[in-house]
Amino acid sequence: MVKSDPIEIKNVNELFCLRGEDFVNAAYRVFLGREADIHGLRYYLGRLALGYDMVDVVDQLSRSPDCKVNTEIEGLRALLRVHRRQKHWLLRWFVPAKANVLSGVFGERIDVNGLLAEALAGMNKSNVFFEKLADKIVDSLGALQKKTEELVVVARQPSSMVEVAQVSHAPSYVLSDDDVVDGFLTVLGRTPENNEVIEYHRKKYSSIPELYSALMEAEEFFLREKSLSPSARLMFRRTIVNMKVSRN
Amino acid sequence: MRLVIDMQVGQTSSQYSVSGCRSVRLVKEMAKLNSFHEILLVLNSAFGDSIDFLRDEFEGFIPQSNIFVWTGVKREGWGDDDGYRKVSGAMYEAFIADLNPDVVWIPSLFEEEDKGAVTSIGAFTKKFPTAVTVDDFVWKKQQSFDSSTHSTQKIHFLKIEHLRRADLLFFASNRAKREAHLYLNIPLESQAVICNAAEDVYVHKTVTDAEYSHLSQTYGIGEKFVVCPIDLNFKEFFTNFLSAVRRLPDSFRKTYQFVLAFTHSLGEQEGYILNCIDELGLDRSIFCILELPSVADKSLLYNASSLILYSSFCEYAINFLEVLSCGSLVITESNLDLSPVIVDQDSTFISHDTDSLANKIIEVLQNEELQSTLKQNGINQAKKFNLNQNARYVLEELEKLHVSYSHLHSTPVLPKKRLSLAFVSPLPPQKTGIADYSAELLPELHRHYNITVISDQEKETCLWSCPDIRLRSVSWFRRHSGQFDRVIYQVGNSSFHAQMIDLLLQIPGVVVLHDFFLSDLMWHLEAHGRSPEWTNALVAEDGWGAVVSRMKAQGGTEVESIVRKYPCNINVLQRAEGVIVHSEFCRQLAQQFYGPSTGEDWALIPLVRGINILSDKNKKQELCGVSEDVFFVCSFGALGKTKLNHRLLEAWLDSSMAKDPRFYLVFVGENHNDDYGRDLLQTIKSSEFGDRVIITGWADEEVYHSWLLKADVAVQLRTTSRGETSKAVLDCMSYGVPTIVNANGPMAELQRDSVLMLEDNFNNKDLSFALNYLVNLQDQREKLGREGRACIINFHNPRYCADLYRDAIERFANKVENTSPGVIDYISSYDSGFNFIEFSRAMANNIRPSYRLPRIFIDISAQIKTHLHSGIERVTCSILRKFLADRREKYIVEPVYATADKEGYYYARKFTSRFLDIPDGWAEDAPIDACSGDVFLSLDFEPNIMMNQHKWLMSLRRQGVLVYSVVHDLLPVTMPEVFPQSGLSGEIHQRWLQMITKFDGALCVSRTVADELFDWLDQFGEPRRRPFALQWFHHGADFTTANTDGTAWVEGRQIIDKIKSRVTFLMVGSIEPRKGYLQTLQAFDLLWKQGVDVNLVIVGKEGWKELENNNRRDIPETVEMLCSHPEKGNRLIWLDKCSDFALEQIYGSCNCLLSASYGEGFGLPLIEAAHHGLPLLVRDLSVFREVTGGHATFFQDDRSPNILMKAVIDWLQVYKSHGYKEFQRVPVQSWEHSKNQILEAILNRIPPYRLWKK
Repeated sequence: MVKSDPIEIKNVNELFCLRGEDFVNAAYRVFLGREADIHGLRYYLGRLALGYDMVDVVDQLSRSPDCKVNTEIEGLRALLRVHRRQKHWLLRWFVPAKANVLSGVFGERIDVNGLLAEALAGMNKSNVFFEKLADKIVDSLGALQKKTEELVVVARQPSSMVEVAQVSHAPSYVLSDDDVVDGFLTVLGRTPENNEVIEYHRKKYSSIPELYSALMEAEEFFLREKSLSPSARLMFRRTIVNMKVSRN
Repeated sequence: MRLVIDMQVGQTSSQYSVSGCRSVRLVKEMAKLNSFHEILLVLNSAFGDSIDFLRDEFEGFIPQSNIFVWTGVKREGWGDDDGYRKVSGAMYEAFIADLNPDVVWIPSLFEEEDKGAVTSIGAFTKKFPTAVTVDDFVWKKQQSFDSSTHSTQKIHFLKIEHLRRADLLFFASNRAKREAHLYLNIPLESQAVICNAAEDVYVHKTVTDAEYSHLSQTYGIGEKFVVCPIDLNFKEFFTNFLSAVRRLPDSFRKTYQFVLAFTHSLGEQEGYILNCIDELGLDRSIFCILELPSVADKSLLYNASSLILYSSFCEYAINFLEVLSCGSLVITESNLDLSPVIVDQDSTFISHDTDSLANKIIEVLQNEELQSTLKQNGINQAKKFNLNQNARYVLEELEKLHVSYSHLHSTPVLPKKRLSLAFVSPLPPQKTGIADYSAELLPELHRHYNITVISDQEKETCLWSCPDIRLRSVSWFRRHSGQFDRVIYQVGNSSFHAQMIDLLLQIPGVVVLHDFFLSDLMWHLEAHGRSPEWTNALVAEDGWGAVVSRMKAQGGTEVESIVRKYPCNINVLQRAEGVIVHSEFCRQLAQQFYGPSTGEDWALIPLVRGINILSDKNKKQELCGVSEDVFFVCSFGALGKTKLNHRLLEAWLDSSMAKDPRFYLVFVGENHNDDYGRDLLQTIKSSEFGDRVIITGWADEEVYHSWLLKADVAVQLRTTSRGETSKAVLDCMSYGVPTIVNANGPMAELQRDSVLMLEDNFNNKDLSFALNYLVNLQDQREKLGREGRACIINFHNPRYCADLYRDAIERFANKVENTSPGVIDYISSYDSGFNFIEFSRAMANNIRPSYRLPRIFIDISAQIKTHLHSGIERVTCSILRKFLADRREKYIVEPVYATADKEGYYYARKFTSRFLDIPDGWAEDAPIDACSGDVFLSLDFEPNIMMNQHKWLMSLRRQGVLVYSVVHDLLPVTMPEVFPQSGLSGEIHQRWLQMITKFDGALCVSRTVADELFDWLDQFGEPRRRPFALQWFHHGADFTTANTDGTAWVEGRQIIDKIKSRVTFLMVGSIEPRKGYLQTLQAFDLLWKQGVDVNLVIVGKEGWKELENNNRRDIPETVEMLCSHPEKGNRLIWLDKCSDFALEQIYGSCNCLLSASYGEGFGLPLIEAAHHGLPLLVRDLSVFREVTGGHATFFQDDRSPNILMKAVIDWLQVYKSHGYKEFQRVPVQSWEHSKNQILEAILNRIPPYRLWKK
């Protein structure tokens, strides 16, 4: 197979006229000044196959550390500026629609409803986020007030009583040492390294599911899972989760 | 009756005992009898070797696919014995329950626990009745415990606990039966007696002199002897016997020997026995102590004996009927009830009474008349009991048990308590049909369960109609799922359900599958960077073909076509505890994708649809302000290609209605701005009646409702349904609108008189006719509207559906609790000292996966390890490529590999991705999941790794996976002289052959190799009962050659010119002794010296470069000759580096392929050359005759240069006088054909070429 000589890209639209392998190679030449290596080619073709836009590919390549900023390409900067805005979690709501940037190039159908739904979902998410934040602030304020009151009480005690009072107000932890050891054995299949580790976990988590969930996030747990076939993995996860909730 | 039999009795050391052998024989006899019963055997993987033995043993009696192997956990994984027993017992029972038995029979309850044997009855589940056979000996044992046997005593009584829970007990005698009643209060009617028939070797015969001398030589036994079986667990009987011997007259002690027979572990006990003899002042020499002899010797011993004592203490060692069959003289304890085998009172002695015993011995031995009567009675009595009678009896009893049990447990019991249910679903105002569905169902389902809805949304907005139902977040549910008795997921094909996929992985539950296709959701998950769910689902469900098309898809429409093509619901289905669907059509789709029996246990619940109370047609005018004259034909739902809106439009425009100004056609729904939508608009615009065609655009609840009220006739059409049930049709029916549908997908299941149903592939005429019919006949419209409404009221009303839901949920829960998935819940109350990894592995092995097509695992370990460019590798790649390109049929192909350092095989997902030139970022090489019915094919040749995995492969085979290997050749074994001098290749090859011939079959690359392997097996093969299948296939010739390395062949032109200047002979293959290069060079040397003007081109690397010269046979000499020959570079051309591309060119320009190989498995260059149309001059080997079909020129198989030289001259003569036409074309086949040959062989679609067994 003889390859035709690549055309030199002058305008960004020329880039988007290409398809598949040709497109990725051309984009490589524009941004990295070389042909795509086989891994890169596969990766970006995979992204395209997943339904990512060509602009996403261009954007990603332009962020590469080896990228030579190429201003000679007409329309590239403007394109990337708008595209990045669209991707920004907040700024995207101020960009009218993808269509403005790309419709000329692609002639694709624009799913306005889809975008609206996405926008709404995003708004909801941030609402929930802010509400949670507000809740937390209220909680912390409450706790702070309580602490202050306690301190006032303590300050009024005779000095000998202060120590006792402090002890009695030390936070009482829900988990026992056994719970922690048990959790380690169940989730990671081993006992904790030492007493400090036990102590640390005992104080950090306020319930058994919380402890289990944290341990299940550990790299060690994933490695354990990896030694299992897919169906054994399902069994394993269910067993551990079942242990977690049944001990709650 | 589906009968499951636990065959551990044939696996443990009792395998060799009386009860072990007896049970195996009995089951075989039952299998022979069995006409309509289905017999399934369960084996324990802890006793690996015995699985092969038993699978062999039952070959021809019970199909291999009815033998199931279960895996338990190891004792070491547990903190204490009790926990271990409970868990392994539960796993054992669950495994049996998974097989869905009508009756279970355990032929031996007391098995060696310490070695991994597990038996358990009714501790985990009472789903099936269990029958168990118990040795009569069990009660004796119970009496013998003292304080020193605490641990065995505990095990004994634990087993007795299981015995109490059994539904039927088999004993060997009435006495034991009565004792069971006495000790355990087990009613007599749940017990049965089988008198174990004697084996065929136990027959009465005259003992010959030779046999007497055999006894004397082997055991030191003379012609007259008395046998007393002893068991030192019961020392009293033994000492009684010794005392009786002492009381016998001297003459007796001189005449007779006394054989103390069949003691176990004699070594430990011999001292004790001798001591007892000495204490009583008896002469040691009159006694003979005997361990368990072979069956034949035992029979001989019975025949030769003068007298045998039979007591209740020896039942374990001796089968009474066997003794009787041999016509032996037997005396028994008087209180020993041996009915129904009745014994003469003349032959009994009183237990514990030494005098009575001694007297009886004297009496019987002296009275010859009595002897002959007793013997004859014994033989007659024994004849009444045979194996066939035993087998019939057992089956009858088991069937009775099945009948009575199923009678008792026929109606499912619904829980009396109100259980809690987690209902995972979106709710309104979320914009999905499933939210509305749930809102409609919940108030009614709440009658049955205490419901908590799991959804991340605000309560006030969605559950106003059922304030009592709680709403919790997904994260709360993750922490508190343990609170719920039942969990149900409402799953649909949209991103609203994204969280459920992960939740299902952790918290099992019943799945309501609203859409059969979940591919959009999977695509969503993958595209949003969570995990490669979509690709993994594709590979698991449809194999590599689907993955390739998904990865190579370019742009939206191609991706969409993949999304439409593959359902990708496998992860959800496999994680579900039960599946509820809304239509039979979904089940049919499932069967289409996952095989014929899929979805048998699914529940079918109609889509919930409340009835609209306001739907009174007379109010149409006042409600909507429309004149009564106006007539609306409506179609509801978003417009699109699959809704066939254009067909309705065409039919309407063609009909008389279009011309009548009172008639309107209304599409209630959104028209998309795509090609289809635009075309539709265009058609409307260009029609003269277009002004009476309305497209409402997206209709909110109110608009939708008002159009349902206004509609006079509705038309709902569909094509290429993917299993979703149309809510719009039910809406129309619910409003009493007469509706026309076509019989597509689930709509075909609507009641015939509730809608007007057209054929799936209706034509426009049908539609016009149906429309006119309804428009003109008001009474028919009204009738159809009424019937439609009635159908909704009867079958879709929420109350009715909620009841169906309850039944389905409870049915699934009952199944889960009593089968393997329930074990996970069962063990959660135990301590964590348990090895959950091992437990999970065992469980994954035990649960037979559903929604899974059989796999063909192709072992390509050599490809992973090295990248040799050898012939074998090229073959592997070509075949693999064909396999992977295969359209998914009834199996899925998975390349796998093993490494030297880890046990087990792994999916070669990364390798395969690279091999197919697609991204591999998604791929993970996890350990493989294999199960019975799969096939493992070792395609390339990597003997060392494969031998490392021998044990693992054996266990795979024991599970029921067929293991096949491709055999490329046997040359290192058959032709050691052409392999390295001090190399191991011969030895390794021999060991490799020994290993692979223990598996199921070999796929040889030619018939010749298959024949050679057969001969090899005759010489070296290990005995096997199940035959080894020998198959053969041929290689293809169509290698895909591309100029992959990209470099142009610089010196090519020059070489090709040189080749073309003379007649050129081509040899292809690395420089190795086997290829006969030296002989050829010498022959050509002679030719050139004689002035024959020919070229010789050799394409091949120098072989064995890594070895010392003295190990390389004739290679140094050959290379020396190649390099220093005067014709080198002239008429002798050696290309040691040659790309595929260059080779292609050379094939195209030479005149003849010469193969002087001494031996080949196949001879790839031959057919490659044939593919290029070259004539062949080859050594006369049978394999060459086979692959060329005889269409080559052969020269005598002789290693001298002269023979070859003459052959070349002869060939040249023919060539010069006739040219190419004299040489017949060799037929070649494609790799596609090779692949099909392999496939047919391993899937047993063609009978094997040869079968070998010994």
